[in-house]
Amino acid sequence: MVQLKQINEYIWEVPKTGKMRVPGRIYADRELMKGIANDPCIEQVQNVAHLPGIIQYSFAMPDIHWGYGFPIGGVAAMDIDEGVISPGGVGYDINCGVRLLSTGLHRSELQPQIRTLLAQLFRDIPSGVGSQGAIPNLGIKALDKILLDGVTSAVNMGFASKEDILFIEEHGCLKGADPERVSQHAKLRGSKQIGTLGSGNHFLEVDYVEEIYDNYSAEVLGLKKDQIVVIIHTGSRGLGYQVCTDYLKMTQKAVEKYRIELPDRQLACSPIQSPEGQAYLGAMRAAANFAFVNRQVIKHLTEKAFIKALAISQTELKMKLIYDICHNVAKFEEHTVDGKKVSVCVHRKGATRAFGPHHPELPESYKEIGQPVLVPGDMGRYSYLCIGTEKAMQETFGSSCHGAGRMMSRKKSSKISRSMNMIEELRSRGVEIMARGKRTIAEEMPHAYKDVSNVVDVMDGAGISKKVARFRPIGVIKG
Amino acid sequence: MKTFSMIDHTADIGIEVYGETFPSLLEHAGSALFQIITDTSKVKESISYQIDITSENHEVALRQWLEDLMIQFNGSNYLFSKFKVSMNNRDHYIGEAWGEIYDPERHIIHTEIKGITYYQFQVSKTSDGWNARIIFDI
Repeated sequence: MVQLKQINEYIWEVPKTGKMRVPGRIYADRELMKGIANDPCIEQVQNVAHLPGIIQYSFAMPDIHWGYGFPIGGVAAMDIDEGVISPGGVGYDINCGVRLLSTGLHRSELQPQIRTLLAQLFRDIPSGVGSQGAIPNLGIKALDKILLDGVTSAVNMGFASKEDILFIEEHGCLKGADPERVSQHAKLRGSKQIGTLGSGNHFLEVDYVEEIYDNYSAEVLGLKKDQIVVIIHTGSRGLGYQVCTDYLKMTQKAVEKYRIELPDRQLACSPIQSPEGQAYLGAMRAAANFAFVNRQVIKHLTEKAFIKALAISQTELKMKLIYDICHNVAKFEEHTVDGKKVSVCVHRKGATRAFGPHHPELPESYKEIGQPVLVPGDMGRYSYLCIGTEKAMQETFGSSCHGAGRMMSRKKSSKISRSMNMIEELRSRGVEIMARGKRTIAEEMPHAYKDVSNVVDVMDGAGISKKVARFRPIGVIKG
Repeated sequence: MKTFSMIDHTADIGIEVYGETFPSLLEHAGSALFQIITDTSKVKESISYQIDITSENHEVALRQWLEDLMIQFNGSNYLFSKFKVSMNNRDHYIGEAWGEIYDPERHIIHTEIKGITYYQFQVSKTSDGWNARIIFDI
C-alpha cells in the first residue's frame, strides 16, 4: 500500500519512488480519501509520474477513479521539447465534454410538460448507436471541413451562430488539426455520427437552477433560481474512439523506437516533437473538433425539440450557450512554472480546464469572473456550475474536477438495480428518464456514483474552482 | 465449458476469455464482445463476414480480430452472433462471423464499446488451453 503524505486539508502527496520523475498530488478530503487510498487508481497516479517530461506533479482531482493507463481525473503537464504525448492520457473519447445551455423558461412552466418534451428530445436526438446521425449523408469533404475548422464549419452549415463560438473552449476549434492523419476507418465510424449522443454515461439532461452560491457570477452568466437549463454530455463518438485505437497501436512501436520505459502499456507515448507525436496531435485535434461540432449540432436539435414540444417561439425560448468544455484532451497552453512563463502540453483525462479571471482565452463577458467549469453529477441528484480561479492557474495548470466519479462497477450497480423499479425510483426523486436500454439505466443509477457535492466542495475548499450554482435534474435522456 | 466471465472494473468492462485452442479463444472473445453490446440470441445468422488475421503474436492477433469486428458494427451496423476461426498457418487465421444488420425494432444495444485498452491486456497459454484478459473502454 502506498503511504500518502497529507500536505493540507485537501492535498495528499504520493511520494516519488522508483522511476517516478515527479511526485503525485491528489485533491481530496479525509472522507473521499477513504474510498481512494486502497484503490488501484493510486498506482495509476504513480504510473503517470513515470512519463518523460512531466512537470511538477502527476495530479488527480477528487473525482479520481480507476481508469486504464491514466486514472480518470488525472492531469499531467509535459514540457513541449522534452516531454511526451500519450493517446491513453486523452482516452478513447477524445474531447468528451459538457455543454451548458440556459433558457428563458421557469421551472413552473416546464414541469407539467416535461414528459412531452423528453419524448420529443428522445425522438429527435439520435443515440447514434447503430442508427443514423443528424446529417445522414455527410460526405468526406464536409467531414474533413468539420475536422479542420470545428464549430466554424457548423456556422456555415447552419447549426451554429457566430456568438456560440465565443462560448466554447478554444472557440470550438483546436488549431493544428490534420484531417489527413485521421484514418479511413475513423472517418467511416464518424461520418454517420454527427449530432448523436452515444451510450454509457453520456446524456442530455433538463435541469432547473436549485441553488445559487455566487450571485455576481450567476448574474454575469445569466442564471436565476428556478430557471431551466440543459446539460449535454458527449464527445467525439466512433471517430475519436478509432483515432485513439489507431494511435495507441502506432505508439506501442514508438515506445520501442524511442526507448521509453513505461510501467503500463496503456501509457504508450511518443515524444511531442517526433513525427509520431505530431501525427497523433494532428489527428487528436481533428477528433476534438468533431466533438465540438457534435455537441453543437445536438444543441441545434435540442432547441428545435423544445420549440416543437412546447409550441413556443425561438424568442420565447431564449436558448443560449453558457459554455462548452472538454474533459478528455491534451492541449498546448501557457502556464507559469517557477515564476517563468512556459508552454506545456496539458493532458486532462477526466478533468476540466478551470482558467481564472482575466485569462485571454475567456469570452469578454466572463473575463471578470473566470471560466465556467461544468461538473455533472449522477442523474438522480444534482450537477454544479463552478468557476475557475487564479489558484488553479498556480497549482493545477488551470485544471479542476469533471464529475462525480464512479465508485461502483457497472456489474455491481446493475445487481443492486435489479431489486428496484428504476423508473419509479428516479421519479420519486423528481426525475423522468427515457433510455434506449434498461441496462444503461441500471449501470448509471445514482448509487454507482460518489456524491458530486463532496467532489465540488473539495475543489471549492482548495480554492481551485468556486461554486456558482447547483442544478437539479427533472428529465434525462440516455442513448 | 465456460467461455468467458466478467471482471469487476469501476469505470469500464473487463472480461476473462477461455478457449481450448487459440482459434476457439478468438471465437469466444468475439462472442463475448457482442454479448456485451446486445442480446445475441436475437441476432439472426443471415450474413457472414470474413476477416484475415495475420500475426504471429497472439496478442496482436486477438486485438486485430476484435477491432475489425468492432469497426463492422460501428461503421456498417453489423451485429454478429456466431463465430468460427480456423488456423491457416502459424501467422494466418481465417475468422468468420455470422449476423445481420442492426434493426432497432428487434435489437437492443446495451452499450457501445469505445475501444480495447492495453491496460492489463494479456493472452496466455495455460495447462487447460488459452485465456485472455481484456478491459474495454465503454
